[in-house]
Amino acid sequence: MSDVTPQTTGAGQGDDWSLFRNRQVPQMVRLDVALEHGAYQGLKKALAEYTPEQVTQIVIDASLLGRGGAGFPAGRKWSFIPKAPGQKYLTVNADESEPGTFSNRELMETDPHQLIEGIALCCYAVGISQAFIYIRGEYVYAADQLDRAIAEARAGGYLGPNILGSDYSLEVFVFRGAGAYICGEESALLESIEGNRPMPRSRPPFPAVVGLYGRPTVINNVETICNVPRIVFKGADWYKTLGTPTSPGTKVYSISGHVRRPGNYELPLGTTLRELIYEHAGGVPGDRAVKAVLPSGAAAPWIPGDQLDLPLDYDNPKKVGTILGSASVIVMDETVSIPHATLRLTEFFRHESCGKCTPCREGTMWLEKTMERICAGEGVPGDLDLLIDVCSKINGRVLCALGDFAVSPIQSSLKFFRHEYEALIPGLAPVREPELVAADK
Amino acid sequence: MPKTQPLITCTINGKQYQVPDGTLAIEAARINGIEIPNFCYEPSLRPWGSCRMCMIEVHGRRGGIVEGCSTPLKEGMEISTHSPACIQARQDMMRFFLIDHALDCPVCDKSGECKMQDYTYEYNVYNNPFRRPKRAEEMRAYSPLISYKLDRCVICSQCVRVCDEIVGATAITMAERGYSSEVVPAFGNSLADTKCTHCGNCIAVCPVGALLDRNYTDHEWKMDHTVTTCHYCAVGCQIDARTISGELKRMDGILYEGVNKGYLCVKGRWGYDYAQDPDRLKTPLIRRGDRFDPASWDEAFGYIAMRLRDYRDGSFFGAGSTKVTNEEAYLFQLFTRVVMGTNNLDTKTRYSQAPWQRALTQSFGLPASTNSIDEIRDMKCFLVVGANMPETHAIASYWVNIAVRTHGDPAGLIVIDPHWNLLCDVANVWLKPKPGTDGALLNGMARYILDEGLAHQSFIEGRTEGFDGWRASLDDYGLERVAEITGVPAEEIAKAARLYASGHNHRQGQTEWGPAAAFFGNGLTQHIGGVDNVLALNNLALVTGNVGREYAGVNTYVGDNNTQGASDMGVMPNALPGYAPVDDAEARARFEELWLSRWAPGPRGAAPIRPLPSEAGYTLTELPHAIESRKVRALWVQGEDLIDSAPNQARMERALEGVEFLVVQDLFLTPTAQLADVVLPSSSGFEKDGTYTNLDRRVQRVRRAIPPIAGSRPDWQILVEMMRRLGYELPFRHPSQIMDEIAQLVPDYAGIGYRRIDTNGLQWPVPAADHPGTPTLHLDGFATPSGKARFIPARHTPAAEGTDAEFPLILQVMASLNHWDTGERTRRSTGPMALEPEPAIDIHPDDAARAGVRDGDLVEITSRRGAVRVRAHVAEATSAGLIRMRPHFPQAPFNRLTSEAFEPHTGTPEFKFAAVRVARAEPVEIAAD
Ligand SMILES: Cc1cc2nc3c(=O)[nH]c(=O)nc-3n(C[C@H](O)[C@H](O)[C@H](O)COP(=O)(O)O)c2cc1C
Ligand code: SF4
Ligand code: SF4
Ligand code: SF4
Ligand code: FES
Repeated sequence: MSDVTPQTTGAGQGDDWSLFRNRQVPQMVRLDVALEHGAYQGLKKALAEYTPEQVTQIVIDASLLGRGGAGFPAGRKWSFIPKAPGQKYLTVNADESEPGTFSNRELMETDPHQLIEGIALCCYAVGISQAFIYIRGEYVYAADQLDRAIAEARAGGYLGPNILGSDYSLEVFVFRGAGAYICGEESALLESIEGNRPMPRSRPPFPAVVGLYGRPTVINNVETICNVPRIVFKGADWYKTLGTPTSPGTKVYSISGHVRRPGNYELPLGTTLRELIYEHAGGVPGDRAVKAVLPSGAAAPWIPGDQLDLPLDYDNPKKVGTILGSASVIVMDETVSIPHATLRLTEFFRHESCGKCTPCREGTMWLEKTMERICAGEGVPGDLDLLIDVCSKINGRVLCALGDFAVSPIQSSLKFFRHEYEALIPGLAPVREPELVAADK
Repeated sequence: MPKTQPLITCTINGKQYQVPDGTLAIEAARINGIEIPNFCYEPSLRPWGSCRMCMIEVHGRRGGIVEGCSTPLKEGMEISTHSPACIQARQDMMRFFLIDHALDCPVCDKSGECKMQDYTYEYNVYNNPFRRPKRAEEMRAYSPLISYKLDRCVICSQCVRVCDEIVGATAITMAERGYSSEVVPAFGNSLADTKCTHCGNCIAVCPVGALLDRNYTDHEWKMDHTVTTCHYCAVGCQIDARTISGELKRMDGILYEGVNKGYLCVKGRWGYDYAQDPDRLKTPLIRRGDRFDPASWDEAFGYIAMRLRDYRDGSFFGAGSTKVTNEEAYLFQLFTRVVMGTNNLDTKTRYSQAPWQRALTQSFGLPASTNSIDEIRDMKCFLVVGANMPETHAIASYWVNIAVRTHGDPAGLIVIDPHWNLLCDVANVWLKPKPGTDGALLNGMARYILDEGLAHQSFIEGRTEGFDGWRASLDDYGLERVAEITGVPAEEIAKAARLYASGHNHRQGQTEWGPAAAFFGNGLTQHIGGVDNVLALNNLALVTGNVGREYAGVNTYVGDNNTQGASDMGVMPNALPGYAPVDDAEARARFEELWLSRWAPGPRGAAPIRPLPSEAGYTLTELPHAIESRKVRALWVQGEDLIDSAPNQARMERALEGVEFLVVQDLFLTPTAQLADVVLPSSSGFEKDGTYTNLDRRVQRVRRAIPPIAGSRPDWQILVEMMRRLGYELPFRHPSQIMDEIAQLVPDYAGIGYRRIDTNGLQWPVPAADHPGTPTLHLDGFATPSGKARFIPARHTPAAEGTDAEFPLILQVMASLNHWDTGERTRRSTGPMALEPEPAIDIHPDDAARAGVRDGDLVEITSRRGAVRVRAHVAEATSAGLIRMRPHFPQAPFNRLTSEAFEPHTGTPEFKFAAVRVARAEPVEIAAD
């Protein structure tokens, strides 16, 4: 795959609407550099012109959807937080452990002040005085950048007590993650900050009511929060000029797998898969055909290669039985053995299952062992039905979405590529020509 | 604080029910007799939702299959618990569980009481279509008492959560993740490396046979169950004594029941087999020269009756017990007062509780804790001073731990103690005053509260008296000076005072402060300033309005199973049952009317004594002197080992040797019993019926779980017969009749009878048969003549002796977690002995280094009075300069070292302060034969 070059420039670069507009600016971590490039304008404007309720309303009006996967409207999430006084928290989800996701990392490394400004705005809107950035443990550089940027922002009066001379105060802490995919699940993340094993909580109650340390808590993805400053600064109407009416704004698509130029592409929501793969990511090496696309890392049902005209927004993927999720698109070309790729993903989920709830803990193991024997040519005819049966016992019976994610590769690959499985199972495989058998020997 | 939720109507399985709004579906079903299967639900823990067995169906819009254990019910909700969809979901889960669950029921202890077994049967799923042999795992030993078998574990985390959320030990954890999850001791291979208290609650909550009691192997269906009250500490846990063919096999809590709601501590769970120890006395013994001859009961009674006739002139002393039942305590004082004609009557209460009894009576009018144990979980602020609750009264500390760790609304906690305990780990403030300076510290806090305007003015004005005089007494207790006396930094004292005064009321917009509750233990009382220390605490509660109100009060966490009851029954030199003063002729007349009518006429009886003695008798502290001066010549000891508990062992021993006639009732031939003229084998608490009164004034049933060990007799029967032999006839055939008499004579017990307390105890005062009992005292006024609480100046008295170059360290005697009292019972119990087989002291690493002592060395501790050899544990749990010694082993008698200084009003010895030095001792050579 010599024609593959990781992408570091490109769409969104320099455009004034882009989260990545300052991607190429050196030293964006420095407050003075960041200010030169427009940082904290939204915060200044909000403190000068808007009440907290107005800030929330702007974000509601902009229909900013959560970028962490579920696509829940951010403004509405904020409005769920009880108004009564008392400790409340914001936790920014920067765990980014989904295979194939790497957008948050670049956002934090290249423009940490954009995130900090978004945090300050969210906390102002909701009435929060303490925020945590829960960052994946391996993101050492990004965490260092954030630490430094927070210190500078605090020294500059953009964080800490009485921000910009107002009576609004905020402290932001960087919390380095505990090294598991499940840490990114919002309630497991809260447990992790509290010093417990990261295991999801049973809901209700939801974090907006009982969150971190049992207090009302907002949890948003890095990219969600990064969107806030420009929304507040330029207004909801401006924001809605980007993307589609129901999915306004841009999305950072992280594309990887069989493409010539993998990387982060920030594009208006609703960009088609075909445009993403062929116009931005440079197409498939060797110009091979696309067999299947994973739209959201390991987590979402697949899109077969004949549906590349699907617009990638928050609505259209649902029509074909999948979700946009974190928009970490993994492309698999025609050389891929679907059962083996599925096994690899199943192994991932078995490994990452936190083990709290029964169907996921036992079921992922069961799926993995069954997939293993199928791929090893030791499957029996009933195994495919067994897989479907086990999937149905996991799906919707689990405590958090990881368990649901775990079944989607198997369910969707069986839906589209059942013949590839059958070919591996003695007794189901098409009967070969006798002379070929002889030739094999 | 619990809010009372309005009732809502919901539909469960087609039937309508009313439950409080927000009740979890699983709980609502349970209350109404519908069991929803579950592995991970425990009502005292935060909802967890992992096992997915509790799936219920919610009907209507937005309905579906959800977890019953974390679904709150709302008005109009309609659910099914056993619809086809629910059953299907559960069968699916069972298939998952049974991939690897061993189902080795025939060799599993849990068989017969295992949820896995029940659900396998109920849902008819016993295998799964997964083509693979089950994994098989070996039993792992996590401690001498606890083992784990992974292939039976359902990963419900109940054990881990109990250990964390309730016990507060965080000794076990879930390791690995996903399918590789397993329960392991935190950070190590053995629970010994953790803070494990060996409460065994992890075993108790395990729904399957994964965590097991290594001491027990048998099956549930062979066992008989007897619900009774624990025989160790004053919390009064309800236990299920499980027996097979008259043999005690296992102790369990009972989920939802009693003050302990199913939880126990190491002593309650594993400290029972003393009752069937081969050492148990099986026949009366009569001394002939320097040996004992076995005798029949008839002989023994006859002999004692003959001898006792000579001591009915006031020269008799009855040393009662805080461990026997109320009924037996009542009979003991009756025997001493009416038959032997004297008020020389006391218990070991003298050695620890007498100061608080005096102080609480002076301040509030009653010698009893003000609050109910049930209130603790909903309290919002705690001051725990000189009470090592996690070790001595563990259950109460569980509830404190829950309150302090309540998610989102934690209670505040101040610990005042020079020694570490589990609660220190979750405290907001931990103050470590120098021993003997607690009173000064509490005065300092009060003074700070006044100076800062944090006092509760309306309370002081409306409900107290003596404020001005008390206020003046605080002149000397400015923050700086108190900091100097106590060694606690001034700002820490201020922080604690603020926290207590505010009741940890961090919720904004709240105008009223509090409530805060205080808990204290022997750390306050076993000092020469013991009474003043408790008064200082009372004053602190009064100045902040923190008594006579729910969730606020002053509580004592000390004492035996029936310390409160023995005092209530008048086993003390100056008061009759119900604390009627012996010098009050009117009170005496009330008792005389009933008591003196029972003298049997006839030749056999001794001459009746009338009237009741009106002068206070000797205290236990005064006993050695009284014997030395021949004021006391005969002594009856009821189930206590005086030699191993008195402040000066040698003197007590000499005194007992010198007494003319000594009768000892006991389970074992204790050092005290060895000096007796007659030893009577009494039955243990497992072998008799009766009641105990615990520290929240709760009168609870004790039930016979096994028949008396051959040859022994319950104390009440011994006393009834003894009195009969002396001509005093009592009509009692069963302890319930004795309680009826107590109810007749003691106004606060008037409404108590066995029928009423059959399932739940009642908290006195229970003035009438239809009175529901009194969980919290003084709500409508204090029990003083004026109805107001009294501020009483409390002076700080420094300890009687000081440290110097020769004796640089301070010895404090403190009960251990694993043992109780003189250790007679726990030293004969497998569990406690497996954990703590020999005496030891704790010494701080700095002191150890200075003395050249390493962990595990044999050391000699020397005080101004004597020396003792014992093993040293070098531990940071003890503050520098202090030695913590456990009083449970006769081979290391602490009372050769302790000071003979006493609290002047009550005679309570200063067990918490003796100057000592420590040096390494060469190991004692044992000559080889
Ligand atoms: C197994 C699992 C892993 C997740 N990992 C992440 C993650 O790494 N980053 C993230 O933002 N959201 C992750 N989520 C989604 C979060 O639970 C949550 O929905 C999100 O942080 C909400 O933020 P948003 O509303 O801004 O999207 C994960 C969810 C699951 C079930
Ligand atoms: S679904 Fe899997 S990851 Fe989520 S709580 Fe259950 S076991 Fe843990
Ligand atoms: S015995 Fe008690 S303290 Fe020890 S691990 Fe079990 S629950 Fe925790
Ligand atoms: S040992 Fe028992 S209580 Fe603990 S997780 Fe396993 S099954 Fe649950
Ligand atoms: S009891 Fe509800 S999930 Fe375990």
